[in-house]
Amino acid sequence: MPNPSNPLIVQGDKSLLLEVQNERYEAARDALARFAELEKSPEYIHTYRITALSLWNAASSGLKATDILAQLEDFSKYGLPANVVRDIEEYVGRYGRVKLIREGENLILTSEDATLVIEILNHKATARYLHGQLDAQRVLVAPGRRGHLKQALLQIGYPAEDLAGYAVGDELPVALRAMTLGGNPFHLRHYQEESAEVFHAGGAARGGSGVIVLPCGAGKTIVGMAAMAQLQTSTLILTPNTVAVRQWISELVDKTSLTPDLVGEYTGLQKDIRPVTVSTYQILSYRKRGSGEEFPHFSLFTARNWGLIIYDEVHLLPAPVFRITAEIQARRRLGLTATLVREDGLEGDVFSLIGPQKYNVPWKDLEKQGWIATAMCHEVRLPLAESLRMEYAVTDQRNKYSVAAHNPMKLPVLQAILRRHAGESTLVIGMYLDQLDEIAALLQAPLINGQTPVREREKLYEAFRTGAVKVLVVSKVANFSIDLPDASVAIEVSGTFGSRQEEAQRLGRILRPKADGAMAHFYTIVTRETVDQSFAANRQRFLTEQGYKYEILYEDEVL
Amino acid sequence: MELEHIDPQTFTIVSNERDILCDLFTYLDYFGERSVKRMTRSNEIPSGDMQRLCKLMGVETPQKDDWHSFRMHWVDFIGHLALRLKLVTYDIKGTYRGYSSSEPSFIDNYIVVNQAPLQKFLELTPMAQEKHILETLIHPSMRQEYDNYSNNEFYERSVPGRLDAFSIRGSATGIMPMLDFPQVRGFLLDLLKDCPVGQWFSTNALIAYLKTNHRYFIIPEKLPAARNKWETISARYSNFYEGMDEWRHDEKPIPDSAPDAFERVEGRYVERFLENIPLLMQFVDVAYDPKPYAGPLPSTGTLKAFRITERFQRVMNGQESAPRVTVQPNFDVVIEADTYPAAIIRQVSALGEQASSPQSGHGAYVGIYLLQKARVAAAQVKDPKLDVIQLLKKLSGRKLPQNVQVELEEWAGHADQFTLYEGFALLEMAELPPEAEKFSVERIAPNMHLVRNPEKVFAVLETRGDAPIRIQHQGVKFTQVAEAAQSVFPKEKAAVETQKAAIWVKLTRVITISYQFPQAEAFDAIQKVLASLRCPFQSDLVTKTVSIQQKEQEKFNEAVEKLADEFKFEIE
Repeated sequence: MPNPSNPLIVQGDKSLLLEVQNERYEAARDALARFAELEKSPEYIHTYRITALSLWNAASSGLKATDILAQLEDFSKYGLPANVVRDIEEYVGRYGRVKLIREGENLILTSEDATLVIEILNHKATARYLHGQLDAQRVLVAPGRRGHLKQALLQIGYPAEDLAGYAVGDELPVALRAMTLGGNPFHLRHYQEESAEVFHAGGAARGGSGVIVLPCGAGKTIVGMAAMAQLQTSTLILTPNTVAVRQWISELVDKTSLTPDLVGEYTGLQKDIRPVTVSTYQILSYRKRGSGEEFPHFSLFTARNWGLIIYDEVHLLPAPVFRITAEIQARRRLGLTATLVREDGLEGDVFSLIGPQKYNVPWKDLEKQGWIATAMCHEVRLPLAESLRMEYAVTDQRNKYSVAAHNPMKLPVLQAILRRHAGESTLVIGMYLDQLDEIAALLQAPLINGQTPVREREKLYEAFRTGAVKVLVVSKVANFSIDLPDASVAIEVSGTFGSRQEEAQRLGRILRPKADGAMAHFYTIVTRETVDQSFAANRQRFLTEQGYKYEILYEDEVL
Repeated sequence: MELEHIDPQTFTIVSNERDILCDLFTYLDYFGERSVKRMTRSNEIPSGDMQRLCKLMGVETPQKDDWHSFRMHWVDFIGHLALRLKLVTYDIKGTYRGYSSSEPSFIDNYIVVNQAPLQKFLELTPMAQEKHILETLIHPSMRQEYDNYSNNEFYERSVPGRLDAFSIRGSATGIMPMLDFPQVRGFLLDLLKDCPVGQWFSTNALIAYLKTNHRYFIIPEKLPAARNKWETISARYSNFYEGMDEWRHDEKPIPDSAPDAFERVEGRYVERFLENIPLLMQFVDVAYDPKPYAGPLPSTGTLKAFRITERFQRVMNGQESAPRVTVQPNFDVVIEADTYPAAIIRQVSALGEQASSPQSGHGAYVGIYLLQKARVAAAQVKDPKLDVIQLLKKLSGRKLPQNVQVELEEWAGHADQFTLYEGFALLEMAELPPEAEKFSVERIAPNMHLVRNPEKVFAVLETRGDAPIRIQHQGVKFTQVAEAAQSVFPKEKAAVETQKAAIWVKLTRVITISYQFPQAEAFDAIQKVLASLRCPFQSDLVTKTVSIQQKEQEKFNEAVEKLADEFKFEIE
């Protein structure tokens, strides 16, 4: 029953406001996670949203409209707006009206509603993926069009319940070690185990495809390995870059029963296809410029009978891989990401092609539990150097950010921050290579950028991990999938115009829990009253919406 | 009072999604910001304004052919309420202007927001504002003399409701003018106060309860005496007519002797009362029979059930909790209140943009405002004494997040960051010569000075032989510096050459017809006649050709006709 002491407010636009400082917060959060999407989680009130997709995802996990409404009533302060009740009933009622099933070799679309079958047969969006009506309630689906049809059905508002199951991949015994090869005890954390179980769903057709959202440092790789251990099948793993490929391989060998001969690397440097193969999006979407030929490395998808495909950093999935993914819907698919924020707005396509969001834990919750480091964000503001003021004032709008980002007054502030964190492993991150060169020279610190050979990068990362190198200057190549367990300070001197995804990833570099439980610090050095500050405002909003404490300092407080 | 519960499963449930207080302030804000006069003949709000208001309130615009619903539009209802609350002024009587119609006209009938009463109203707590509205609805004012039907549940259809009404026939006489409806409404609201929240009760059960326990709650047991010698009060129900015809041509008064007369009069009133003030104020949800009604009119037994909301309990019991304001680190200000907190919203909306719709469940207001630099700076300019940080601290009752406080301090500082200098100039020069020093106002950059009396400065520099260049900017754009000049500003040649926009040229097709005359006499004659007819033409003396535009063909024909006696023309 609605009660003013409850933590939840349900709004007419289907947004849900959840009070954090309420004793029923955690119970409400767990309930909402099943049918609503977390939009933002600033300090006091978190915002969730009920969307058609979130309701269909909930319905796919077996939740009924009455269950959802009962949960909302239970946690709500006020009565539910009538339109929200109607919409929930309507949307959940739509799920499962159309099903995809397998009959022998054929994929069949079926519905008990014969009129709906006619409508789908005649709809422009779906007709091209269908091969004619078998009877009033069954339609034959064109071969290889399972993903496309699901996408189209979602667009027209009749999400299919996909019961066609998955191809059984080649068997591969995989077990998680209790003690890593490196000699450390190893076991799954509760949320890693939960997310792998939610994904697997006991092997049912309802499971087996979906996206797990966990913050950087929470061990998404481990979740991938847990999924492999549950499925015991040959696996293709796609990652953003070669360094990440190597890290996956080393983790697999270290923490599972897989031996090096069972794990292959398929990159620009090496092309081994083994029962477990780790590759990059880059190599898959490579083709000779202007040749018009098909993507030659797509053959990797059919090179073996894969039972599982893992998409690491799934938010980076490039368009060609989207396309091929639509055609391999019979394979189990697991997406892993920290932030399902795509600047191109294609989150919906990720859900329909990889699968629904299966698990999502707010960063702050894991921070409270000690699974990721507590992070504090600082923005240090300083004025633009006098010598650059007029140049900034008259320069073209497109160059303003460059002028502001190159502010030489950032250097003494950077040095002051480094003094403040002397002895701590620190990453200095930037976008402009000339600026990074200058910083690396000034600090006498090694630099990693796009031109640094992979072997050299690995050497430097290793030196950073062991503590031999304390300060590492990196360009955006280090944004993703780099495991730097001991980085506790990150200092950003310039970024990609306030990209939210980049901020989350950069912060993620320092979130892995520290051995001594120390706090992580994320600094951004910003030139006041310039576009640098405007971009910083986006970043500030995004990070505070993720629940991070954000402190603004002026240069005199640091120097 | 214990009433029978009812399952509304098979009924059509209607809730009023509109918050009167919220829409009232939308109305007041709208007309407070602009000068709008009502239409001269119909006294309606002009359609453009009506559409904008509907959009702001989130209601449908009135349909042109909706007159037969006899139901006031929500915006008009809010307008009448604002008038009755004396928060606005506009004429509703009009004056006869002697047009063909006997309808009054409304000349320059501006809707004026009365600032002093509005300020007083704003100073009330939200609950007190709501109670004030309730009192106003309970005690309606007559729109004109003998008007016993306006704002009366028997005769006027509820704005959010669905039921029809009794005909107003004879409502100025008989028992009607003597009934104390404010007392009736108050009595019924008091009665409903005892119903538990959220449970559906049968309307018939309520009517049966009233018949048994408060039979005379509308019409006293002992009929009052007539007001004057011309009137007679012959029967209890003589004002109330029933009929089967939609236009009530066959209607007859309900006889006092009918065993179900109470249900037919008081029962109908109860149904209509429920969908009036209680539904308007979001005090109840109601459930209607979805089947088409086929009995005597006005309809009866259609509003099957009702349930009391929390809002009703809060208002009736005077439970008022202070609005809660939360300032989040992401600059969202969340306002949550049991009742629309107009005063707080006015303060916060001056500092930020509304980021989410304010609809929530029954009676609650939840609004999210995103603090914005431009608005904070503008509010600071409007009221230099405004301390935004203190205001938000006071409203939220706690310290602001550090980053928000720092930003607000910066934004407030931006309000006086700019100074407008008139008659000054920028001088781009590393070091000012001593003769020009006295003209310097400020050195704003290593190579840039703000100087007064630019003509004199120019003269000084010229005398020194510094070869100054004076740039006079145009009103609409900056003039670029000559290529040879030393300057950090963009130079003429350095400017990115933008593609010259094509000039739009509209061509008119003109067809010219030329006639070649082999004879000089005929050629001379036609020219003379064309000139006398004022027909524009061109002539070529060499080729003996006369050219006219096609549109002058008729005049040419006329000229040929005039010369018919002298020349017989044949055109090839």
